[in-house]
Amino acid sequence: MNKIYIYDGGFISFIALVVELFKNKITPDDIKLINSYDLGLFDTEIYLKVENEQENIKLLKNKISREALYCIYNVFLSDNKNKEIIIYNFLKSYFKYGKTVFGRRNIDCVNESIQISKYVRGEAHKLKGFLRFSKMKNNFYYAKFESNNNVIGILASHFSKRLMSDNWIIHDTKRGIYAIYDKEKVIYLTDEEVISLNLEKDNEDLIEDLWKTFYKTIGIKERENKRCRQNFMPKKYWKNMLEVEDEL
Amino acid sequence: MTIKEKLIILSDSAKYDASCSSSGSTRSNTNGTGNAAYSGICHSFASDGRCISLLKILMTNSCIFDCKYCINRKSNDVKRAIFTPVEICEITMNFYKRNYIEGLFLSSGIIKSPNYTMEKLIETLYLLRKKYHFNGYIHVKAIPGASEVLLKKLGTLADRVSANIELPTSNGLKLLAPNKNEDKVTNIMKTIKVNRSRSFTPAGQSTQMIVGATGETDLDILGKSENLYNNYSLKRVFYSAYIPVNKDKLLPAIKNPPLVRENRLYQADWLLRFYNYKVDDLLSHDNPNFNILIDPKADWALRHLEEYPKEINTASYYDLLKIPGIGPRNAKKIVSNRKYYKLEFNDLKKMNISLKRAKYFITCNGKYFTDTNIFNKKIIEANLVLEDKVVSNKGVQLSLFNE
Repeated sequence: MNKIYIYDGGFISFIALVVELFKNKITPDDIKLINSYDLGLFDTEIYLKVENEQENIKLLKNKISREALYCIYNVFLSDNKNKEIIIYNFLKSYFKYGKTVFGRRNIDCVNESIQISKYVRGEAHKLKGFLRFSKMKNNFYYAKFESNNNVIGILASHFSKRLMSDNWIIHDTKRGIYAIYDKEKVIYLTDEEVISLNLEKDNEDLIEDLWKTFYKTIGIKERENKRCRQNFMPKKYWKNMLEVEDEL
Repeated sequence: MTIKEKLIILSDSAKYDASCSSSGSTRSNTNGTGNAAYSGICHSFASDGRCISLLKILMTNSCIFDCKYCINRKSNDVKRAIFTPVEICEITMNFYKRNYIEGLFLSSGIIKSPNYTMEKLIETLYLLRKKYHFNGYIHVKAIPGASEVLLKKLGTLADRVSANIELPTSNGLKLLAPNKNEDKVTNIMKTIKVNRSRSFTPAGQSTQMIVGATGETDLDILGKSENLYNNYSLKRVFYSAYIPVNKDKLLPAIKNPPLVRENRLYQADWLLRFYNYKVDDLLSHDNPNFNILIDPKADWALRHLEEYPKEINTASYYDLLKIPGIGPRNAKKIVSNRKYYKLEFNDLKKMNISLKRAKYFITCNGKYFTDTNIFNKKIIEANLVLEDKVVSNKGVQLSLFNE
């Protein structure tokens, strides 16, 4: 039988479980989020009780470098189907080799972790630029986006420094998550939890029109290179970008 | 005139400035709007494939100068417009809060006098920083000939200040930009270099040269760049393929801007800044222009084939950088991995190191990627040219603008 260990929440509960597995010297066949996958014929689910999540987190933080923690956090945010077991194996290698794992890319889980982490950060970086806010009647700025990886936390932390003096909402339409900022803190709500946000657009025509005008004007006709544009700005992002959505 | 009409005129006349980078500053947000991202952020890409990160505009396109190549020259009959400082601040803030831009790129034609124009630019930046509490990125063009006192003031408000050298030789400048002179530009560079600090142009300075408007060779242009990097600690030199916007008997009549030449200059510029090459390594008086068919690094490698193939597991970091297709990032990956195990071709592929060009110039554990008969100047050259053609037909190569 394949032993699949189940966690029931975000990064904290996942990491707490992984630490618990190491503590008890258990080797899992897989680790999965509750209700997130189809149970196979030879699979058996195991719910391991974690007494003190925070204590496990602290334990890990003391054992691994910031770079390693950053890497596994990014992998956890990815859309990779095997991310949990990749992280488990990465940590196993880390406990064996320490910081030098980052130079041991002949180990598959290490190489994969580095690549996935880069991919997640790359998408987050692109969206830091491509996100478009509209001004709402209730004085909130609202932006919706769709991404492969779960990057709303990275984006919210970026904008809570940058636009700290404004109210804003960032909406991950694919995952149904809202990050809402009220000039003090960010709170996260899901589609079900949001009752009424009253997202009615302010009369934005002038500013949006100016931006589209600027966009059209700034390209040099003699140098037109739409292929190059698309390489840097993949079409999947266009539907939420007002300056190019008409070209879709 | 409406704001929209002004924006069309004043962004249209600013678009020929190549610089749009927003990197190198760590300005933080203190109870206002905006901060700088050290890596820079591209917010969009224009139809020409260039990154848009800044609201790139002129304060005015009126000008008392008559530079031959410039669309805004005095003798041109074009529509003129001027933004007030408040208008510039309002557009910048409104664009920034909607995350259209990373900041402002402000340049200007010269009205009344260099000092007067500079004062107007300072007034605008002061308003934006102090009244609108804007802490995002600002790149501003210094006006040649304005006083040093004003330049010092400007530098405390901006992340980057720059002045365009325009042409690599003073003869070229005399011919096409009779009102400008090189000393005025290098004086600006000197002042910025001496005063640079965390609170004075933290992102440093850049400049731009026009390529193909006068008879200068690549050696003239790149020699000038090397000189500027060494003497004024410039962050970037931008190259701008000449686009004929004016008809003038002093200007060459060309149909298409020399984009491939521009691309070669950028590639060589990278070699100067990140790969330890010198201009003398790349070009000489007998050979003053780059090969249009092949990139400067591969060209150098083919002329020094006796130094290759390099063994991936033992070559020094700087030797790894001399392998076509291997840059600083890949060289670092190789160095940090080979400490722990011997690298084979497959290991390189696994790390996402492209072997398309590199494979001809390396061995892994003493092995060449194929029959060593291939290791021959003519054969490698033919293969590289072929690959370059495929790439440029796809149109992905001419795009080095994002930092």
